[in-house]
Amino acid sequence: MLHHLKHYLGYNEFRPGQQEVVEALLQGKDVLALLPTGMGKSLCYQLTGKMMQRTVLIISPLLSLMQDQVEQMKKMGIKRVIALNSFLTRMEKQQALQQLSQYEFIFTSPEMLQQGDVKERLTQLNIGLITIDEAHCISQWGYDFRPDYLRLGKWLKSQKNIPILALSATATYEVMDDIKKVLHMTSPFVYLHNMDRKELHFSRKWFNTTDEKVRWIKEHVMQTMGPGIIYTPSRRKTEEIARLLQDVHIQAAAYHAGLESHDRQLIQAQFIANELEWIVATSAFGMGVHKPNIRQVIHETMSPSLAHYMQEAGRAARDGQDAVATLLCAPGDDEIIRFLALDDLPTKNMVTDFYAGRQLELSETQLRVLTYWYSEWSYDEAIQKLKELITQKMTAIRATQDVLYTDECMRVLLMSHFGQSKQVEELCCSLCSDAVDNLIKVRKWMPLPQQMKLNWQERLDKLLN
Amino acid sequence: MSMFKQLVHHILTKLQQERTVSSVYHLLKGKKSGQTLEDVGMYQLHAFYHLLPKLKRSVYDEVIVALEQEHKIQRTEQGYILHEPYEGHYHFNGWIYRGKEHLFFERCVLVTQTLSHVKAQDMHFTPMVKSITTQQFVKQFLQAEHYHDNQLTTRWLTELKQALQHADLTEMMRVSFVYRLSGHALPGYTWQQLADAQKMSVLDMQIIFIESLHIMMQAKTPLLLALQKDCITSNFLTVSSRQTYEMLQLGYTLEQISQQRSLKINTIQDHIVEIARNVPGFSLQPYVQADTVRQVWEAVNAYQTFKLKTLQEILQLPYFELKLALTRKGE
Repeated sequence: MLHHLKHYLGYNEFRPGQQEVVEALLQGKDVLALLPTGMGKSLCYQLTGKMMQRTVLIISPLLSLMQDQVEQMKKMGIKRVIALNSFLTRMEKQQALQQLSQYEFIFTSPEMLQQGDVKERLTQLNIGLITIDEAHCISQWGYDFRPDYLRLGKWLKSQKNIPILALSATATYEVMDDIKKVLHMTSPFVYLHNMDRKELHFSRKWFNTTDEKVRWIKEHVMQTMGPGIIYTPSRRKTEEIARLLQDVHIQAAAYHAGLESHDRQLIQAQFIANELEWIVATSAFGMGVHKPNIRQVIHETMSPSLAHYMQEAGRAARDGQDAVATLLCAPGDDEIIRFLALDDLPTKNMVTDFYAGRQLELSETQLRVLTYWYSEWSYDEAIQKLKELITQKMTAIRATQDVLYTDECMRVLLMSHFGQSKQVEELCCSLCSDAVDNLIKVRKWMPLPQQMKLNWQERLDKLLN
Repeated sequence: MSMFKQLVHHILTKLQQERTVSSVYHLLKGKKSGQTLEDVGMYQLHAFYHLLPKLKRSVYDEVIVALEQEHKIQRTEQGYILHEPYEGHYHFNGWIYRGKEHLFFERCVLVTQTLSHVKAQDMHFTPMVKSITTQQFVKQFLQAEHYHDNQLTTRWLTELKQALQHADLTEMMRVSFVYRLSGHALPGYTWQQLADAQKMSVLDMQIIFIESLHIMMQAKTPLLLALQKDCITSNFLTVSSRQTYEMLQLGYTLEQISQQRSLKINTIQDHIVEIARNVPGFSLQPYVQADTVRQVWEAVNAYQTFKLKTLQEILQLPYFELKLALTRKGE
């Protein structure tokens, strides 16, 4: 195995889990693997594909992530890789479909798989492995955001005898059951990584008002060292906090889905190049960002689920050095979290009106969900489904509140939510030890105002000469 | 005073109180309606067409309100009254580029990023531009130009420096252009960062940036020209009118064109009316005298009509001259 690893991908050793996953796939088994992002998830299908010498299909829900993975692979020297997604123009798509058999690795979105010509073309290929990336989306988002991920199950059923690899970084037991069910995985090999990372420490702080949180963030960032990410649910707030930090000369930038693509790329690149110390972001930030030395993640408000929270907090300390994830809480957070979690669900009235064919105003997501329900289920089934969904979401919300209000140990709650037990004892969380906050390094120098230091000729020369 | 507000004020001045304030919005958005296209020709507003296709109505309305509060204009039921004219000095060329200047710039970004990485001997990088079409275009361009030898980098640098010397560019435009580019371990600035550095709004920065691109795209050196492929709109004439236009530029007379192309004189005259509407700065002089144009517009105002038949009865002018005169105000 090691010989193949070196030969095909140039690595000298496996990271935990990789070898087990590849071996199971080569034996033709379905695999559900929980591996943290940035810890070599993609190696699992890369090596398997190379060793099988057959085409690997990778289904990924997020277009930007897909693009990023294709670029990463090209960087590694794997050139026969393509992303088949809605970014392509009609012409590009036709061209890609015609030449599809030339590629070893084909990335595509669940939406594309619903298109007749794509489906047909794929059946003509010699596919050896189907990978479902970010498989938790099937459950975490699937029901409400991505109907096409659900339809995926139907298509997979028709692909007999091709092993399936479902990958995720964070999934609870319920989510894992969902994944298995939706993807029709029969007695899969399951690999769980240990989520209890000793280098990641948790801290929690309570405030009387939201304004106090923002004031604390400003003071804290002035006194301590990044690089870090501050997560906040609202776009407006990312701008507001970033501006506050810039006013005291901290190199910070706001990041949200409202920015144009080029600006988002620039911010990521600046963060990786250490030109930006802090990113103030909505949940849009993080997928596909590989920065090992993130020292702090601050949640201005708890994420709408612990799966989201762990994924975001887990972006810190990828280099194995200590980092602290700080969760800020204030009265009223419960409502914000509830609003965020339930925001995109249709209401019961909407379901009724939609089934009765009445005109109504819906968000894009609500329209997508209702259209899907309408095509698959009766009215009663849809109402039943909505109830189940609300119950599920409420359970997820309660789990986040447990972490908000616990008097005992944050880590115990977080780990048990993912069906794991806590092993790390030392500096585990701020509730168990006051010393956690001391792990954050004190700022050594005060930043100076940023300015364009070069004139235009100088900068051009620096770029090209 | 913000750039954007000045720009709107300038266009409102050009419109001579004869349109509604919304027509400026449609013009900047690049609306393809007959009315907007007619405005472009009549008030010679080619420069500003399609400058800001993503402009939000709310942002535009804010500026109108501000102009009212400053007593520069006043909205009325039919249109607006201009209390204070403003004429700026601009180098836009929206009619020709129609938003494609951004495509040109994205190509410049990718070329610079790639060559910068070639120089650093590190070809592992994440392209700043995500569009597959642009990536492929630049890839083909770079391969055709043999990007692995250093000559291309030198040529690119020379062409950029030369284009940036253009006298119409300000120092601020040059520095902003260059800071928006990315290279090896040297990411560019976001709109917000550029705007902050110049202490202006993001929208103003974007407007100034568009103007700089329009100026730089006048550069016709080989590499910059190659990157302008498909960024220039030239099909605003029908095929037949285009042929007539080309022959006019070669010095043929109306009659000669008619004979050579075996088309009726009337047809060629219709072409010329179309050309007068669509080609910025096309001179009416050879076909209709300035005095006549003035007369036609006096009649339009006196009788409150654009009907050709009525105007013909009043003025006793050939239809061709009437139609031509109506394409243009104030010439």
